[in-house]
Amino acid sequence: MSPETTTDPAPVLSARDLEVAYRTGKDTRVRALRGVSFDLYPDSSLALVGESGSGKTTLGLALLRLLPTLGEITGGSVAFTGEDGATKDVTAMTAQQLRRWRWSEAAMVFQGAQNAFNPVLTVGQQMADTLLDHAHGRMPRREVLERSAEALRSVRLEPRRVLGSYPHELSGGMKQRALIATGLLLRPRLLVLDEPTTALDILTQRTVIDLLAELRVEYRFAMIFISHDLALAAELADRVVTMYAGKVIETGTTKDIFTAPKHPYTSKLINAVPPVTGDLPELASIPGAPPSLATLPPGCAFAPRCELATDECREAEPELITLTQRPADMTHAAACIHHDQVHHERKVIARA
Amino acid sequence: MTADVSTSEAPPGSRPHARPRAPLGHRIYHSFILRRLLRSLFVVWVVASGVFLMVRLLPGNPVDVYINQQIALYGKSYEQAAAEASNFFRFDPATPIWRQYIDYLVGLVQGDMGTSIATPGVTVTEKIAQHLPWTLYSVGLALLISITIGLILGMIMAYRRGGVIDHAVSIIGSGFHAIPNYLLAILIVVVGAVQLEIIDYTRMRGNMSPGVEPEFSLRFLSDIGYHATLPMITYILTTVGTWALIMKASTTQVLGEDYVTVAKARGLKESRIQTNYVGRNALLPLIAQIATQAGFIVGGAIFVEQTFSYEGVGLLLFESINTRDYPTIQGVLLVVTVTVVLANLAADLINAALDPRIRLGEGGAA
Ligand SMILES: Nc1ncnc2c1ncn2[C@@H]1O[C@H](COP(=O)(O)OP(=O)(O)OP(=O)(O)O)[C@@H](O)[C@H]1O
Ligand code: SF4
Ligand SMILES: [Mg+2]
Repeated sequence: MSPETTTDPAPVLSARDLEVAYRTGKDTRVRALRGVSFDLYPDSSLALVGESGSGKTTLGLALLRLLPTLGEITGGSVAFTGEDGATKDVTAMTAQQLRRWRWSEAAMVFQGAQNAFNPVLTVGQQMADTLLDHAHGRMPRREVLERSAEALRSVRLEPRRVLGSYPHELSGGMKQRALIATGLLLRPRLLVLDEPTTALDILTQRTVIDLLAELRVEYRFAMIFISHDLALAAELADRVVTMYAGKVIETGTTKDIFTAPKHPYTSKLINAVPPVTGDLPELASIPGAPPSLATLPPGCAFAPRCELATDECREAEPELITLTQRPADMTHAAACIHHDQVHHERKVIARA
Repeated sequence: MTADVSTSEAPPGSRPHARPRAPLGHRIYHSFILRRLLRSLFVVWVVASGVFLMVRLLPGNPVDVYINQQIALYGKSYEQAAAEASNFFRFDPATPIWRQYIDYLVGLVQGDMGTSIATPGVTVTEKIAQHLPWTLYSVGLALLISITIGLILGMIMAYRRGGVIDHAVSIIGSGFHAIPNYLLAILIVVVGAVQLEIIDYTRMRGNMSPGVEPEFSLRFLSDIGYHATLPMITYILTTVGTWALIMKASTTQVLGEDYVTVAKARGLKESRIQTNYVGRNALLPLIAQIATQAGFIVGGAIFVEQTFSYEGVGLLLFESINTRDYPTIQGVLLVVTVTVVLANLAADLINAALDPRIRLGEGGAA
């Protein structure tokens, strides 16, 4: 899926040692992201996978500086490179710079998008708000309408019907697509999608997935795709980042990750994918539960659930080890001391 | 890239946006506005009848009260006083109650609330017309100021939770909320006028200064403003904190909604988010409460107006209860009821206009 590359392309988005903490009490905090680093290359798509609570949403929100008031970026940086090649430090942007940057360059489709639209305004009004506030209020009504209609048509919604509708008049799938259309309005370079299909029925899921694949060609955006559903990630992503307890524990091309994972957790995740279709999107079959972020074990966070764990694992937290020297956007890295012992017996992952 | 993207799909659950027009009769039956109006009329009738009965359950009737007064004040004999009373009143307590009730209802339908018993010759409508504007002016303006300040304070409190304004308004507001308004009125008089002598109570009481005529002039307007100050301060102080706290709770809830985060993500201007995304949604659940409060504060005006000798309907009600002036009591209570009912009706209509989820045409709102 990724374009042929000879030299290392400059990443669109580059996170370095990102740290996020949530305040949980007067003086207590949990570290929801612990030194997350990854790169996202232009026109490529990256799947963020991991069990519930591993920090995927937190990472998505932190990238756009949209964390709730209780959450805070406590370290690290996010760099964004625009169309013009200029790199901006997202973590250092002022409120005004952020406002301009958001949506025009980086848009996000949220988890549980059912409430993403203001219930008292029509979809058309909300699309118009988006266009106008990024054009300093100066855009002819005609153009506003045309651009909104074009975006809606590209997600195969009928503009005449949807523009004048209130959110409650649309079905879940239509709302999801209307939100994607809103995301495309300003033709951003980056689109973050957090579980864009979780709340939908299987048929509508299929429609949205096909649509995304199609839109990537048409709109040429880089995509971060957050999902529980590995089969879906396998289908849409060029690269995969596996998260566990707020850390990136493996990253590689979709092919490497699915054929030869080098972290026991990724291997288990893949084998937990229901073989035929996504009837069971929850990853229920990994024994044990993810650790509480408040009481992490001293060494590898996965050790209590890991069959390969040794005393060495419990001493210090393993760093990401680069396993293959290839162009930057093909690297494979895993945070496991015994990565050479991970032998993945492959199950068929297929999705109709 | 997947090439086999299905292009012919009709999303499940989709339905045409334009609603088909129903036949006229059906539409009237289901009309939200019509149904609300009918229900309002019904409420007015129930309250009018209830008031009619309750007034007559008050111990003593207007004639007895008059006779007792004459005996106590002027030392007249019972016969003398009774003879004067039957001359003075055109009210005969011996008329059967059902007869009085029918007369009353027939009169109401014709817009006639009867003639005052205590001041013969003056219709109840005239009396109310004299007093109501003052109450509407003082209470209405106070409510408007109180709600405006309260809503703004509440939003600020929600945006800066735990800040200085939040703490200060929370403490002061709930303190004033705990004091009934008539008590605050008395406190203002006792502390402000009697003890500290910073309020010139004798000059400020009443609706306007002697010699000032109702006219459209700066002198008149500033004079009525001056005289309404104390009751208005009472109303504002006792309600503004409550509005602020309600609005804070509502705003806080809306601030946690997904669509606010999404609006921020969309890079919308902060001012637009505050008004159209946060403010409007935070206000919606408050409209009904505002209407209810608007009705209650007219009731609360009774004691406040008495304390400040402010000649509004509150004072009128107080006086007519003292003299058992049945028609006037009925008239005032009816007007208060109609105010509450109208306020609620207005609230429903405003709600329906602001919230698209309430469909005007389909009578969706209960
Ligand atoms: N607002 C919050 N306040 C406190 N803790 C939070 C908050 N949001 C998330 N967390 C904590 O941060 C951790 C990561 O949560 P996050 O929502 O990012 O996980 P996720 O991978 O997106 O999970 P899911 O797959 O269920 O969406 C969790 O342990 C969660 O309890
Ligand atoms: S470091 Fe040790 S405990 Fe952690 S995943 Fe690797 S083998 Fe398991
Ligand atoms: Mg999530």
